[in-house]
Amino acid sequence: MIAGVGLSLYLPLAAHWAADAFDEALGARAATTPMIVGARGSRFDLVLHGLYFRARSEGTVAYGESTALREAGHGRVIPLHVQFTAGGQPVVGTSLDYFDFRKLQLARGESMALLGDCVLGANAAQQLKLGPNDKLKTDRKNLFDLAGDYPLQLNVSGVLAATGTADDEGVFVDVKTAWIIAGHGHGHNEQESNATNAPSAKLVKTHLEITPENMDTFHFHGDTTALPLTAILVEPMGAKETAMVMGRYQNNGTLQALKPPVVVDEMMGMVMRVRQFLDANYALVASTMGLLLALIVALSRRLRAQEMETLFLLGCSRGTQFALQAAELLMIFTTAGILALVAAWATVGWARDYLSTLAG
Amino acid sequence: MRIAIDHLEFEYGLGRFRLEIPDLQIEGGARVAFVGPSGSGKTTLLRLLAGIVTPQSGTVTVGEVPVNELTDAGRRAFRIRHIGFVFQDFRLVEHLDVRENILLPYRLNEALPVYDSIESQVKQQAARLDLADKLDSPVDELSQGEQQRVAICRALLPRPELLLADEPTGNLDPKNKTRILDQLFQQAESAEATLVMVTHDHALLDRFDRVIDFTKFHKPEATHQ
Repeated sequence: MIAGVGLSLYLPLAAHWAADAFDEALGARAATTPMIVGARGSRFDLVLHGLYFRARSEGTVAYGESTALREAGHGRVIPLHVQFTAGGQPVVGTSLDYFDFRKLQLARGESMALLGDCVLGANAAQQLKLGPNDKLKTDRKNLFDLAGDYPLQLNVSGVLAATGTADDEGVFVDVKTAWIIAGHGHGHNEQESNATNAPSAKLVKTHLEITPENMDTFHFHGDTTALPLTAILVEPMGAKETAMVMGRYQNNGTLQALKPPVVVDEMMGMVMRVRQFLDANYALVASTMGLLLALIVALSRRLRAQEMETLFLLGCSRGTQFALQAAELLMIFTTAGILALVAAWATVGWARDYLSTLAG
Repeated sequence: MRIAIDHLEFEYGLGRFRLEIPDLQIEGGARVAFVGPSGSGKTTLLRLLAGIVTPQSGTVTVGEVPVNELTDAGRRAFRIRHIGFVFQDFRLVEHLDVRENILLPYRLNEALPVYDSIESQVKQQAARLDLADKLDSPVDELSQGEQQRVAICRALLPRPELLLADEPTGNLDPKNKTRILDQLFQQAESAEATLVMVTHDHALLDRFDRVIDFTKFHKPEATHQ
């Protein structure tokens, strides 16, 4: 009976609290991200990509766009390039402005200063068991594409303090390092070949780690303003600048500007609708459970009729008899309630961690 | 505690059972045996004395209290405070152990007087009835005779002024029968309580002050009609 009552209380409690935690986590992150620019496509995808570094397959935006936005003087402009992972954690190519924008503090080590440096989020450092001066190799996206990207060994320069947000999961690098991981730039030495039958007299050795010795050999081919970003975070200086940025992309066929708080509100509206549907179901479950409980209590009373009669024969007052039965029910409901609360609290505690990062 | 019954009429089962007692007086502290054939109303009179049932007419006075004129709550309170009842079917609570069954009147009414330490009282009473090593046993693991002794122990513990016993020796061997009867008599005497006992065992009757034959009180259906 305790399990039955506990479950019927736990399900709606956990669902409500989890939805509230989701709403709170998503809302708080969105509220601190006034605007995001990216390729047209799913608005939800772009916002979740910008806020939670979730992988996005739809298009890119040229780096030149962020330069143009910055030069237009609308506000703070932060590039984002999130396509790769290292040890399963998202590699976030960005600028140092991102740390200031998100108010991220270093817990250990130093910020990324050189090409190839990375700063780990608190959870990422814990999961990868890495700290300052350690090495971290990026994951290959496609093992069979020999012409594709190669893993790059990153130098861990620092670890961020925990924030309870998606930033705890990130491996932060300079956007140029992200481009090198993506294969848009590389470093190599040219060596004389000693093979007599070589068609060329020179061999090219690509560096898989950026060191002070080989750093000068790294370069990008072509126009860097055309190199891709997956999103641009914009913090306009005011309402006017916000309107100007929105206007800039209003009729743009390939790019869109979104206000994450608005998109998240829309998303939560959908979540609320699902919650209402679930609430209706829980009401049905609770009604069924109520009927079952009534049946169980009635059967229990019948089973214990002789015991109750014994109490009467001994001279037990009606009040004491009622109090005994009420106390039993109270104990069942209290125990079930406590169990449901503890289970819901534990579930939401776990869900809060999961929902606060949403990394994937 | 004296008992006075005046023009008592009680019937149930649409008149199939009828008990009529024009007058019956039992002195306080007396040891009385009720005898008679099955269905003659012996147990019914015990229940009337305890206020478990009430007569259609007449008066049942126990001590100075007209029990049948009390409210339901009043009869319950009177019963638990003044009467010890050994039921024929023991009426033990199966999921409780021996100790808790013996203590049940105290659990149900904290106002019952406590003599010495209640725990030592329980131990002493249990020892007298050879239950000392059974106090922590569940009652459903006991033999019929042991269960009967637990029921007697429960009735005796609060030192009632009126002790009603419905065939308390029915399931006992001769040795235990004598011992139980000794206990009941001893307890009744020490508490100056009145003992009323239903029995079919005529060998025990010479130990009682008075024997009341119920054949004369019972009105069978045919007579009633």
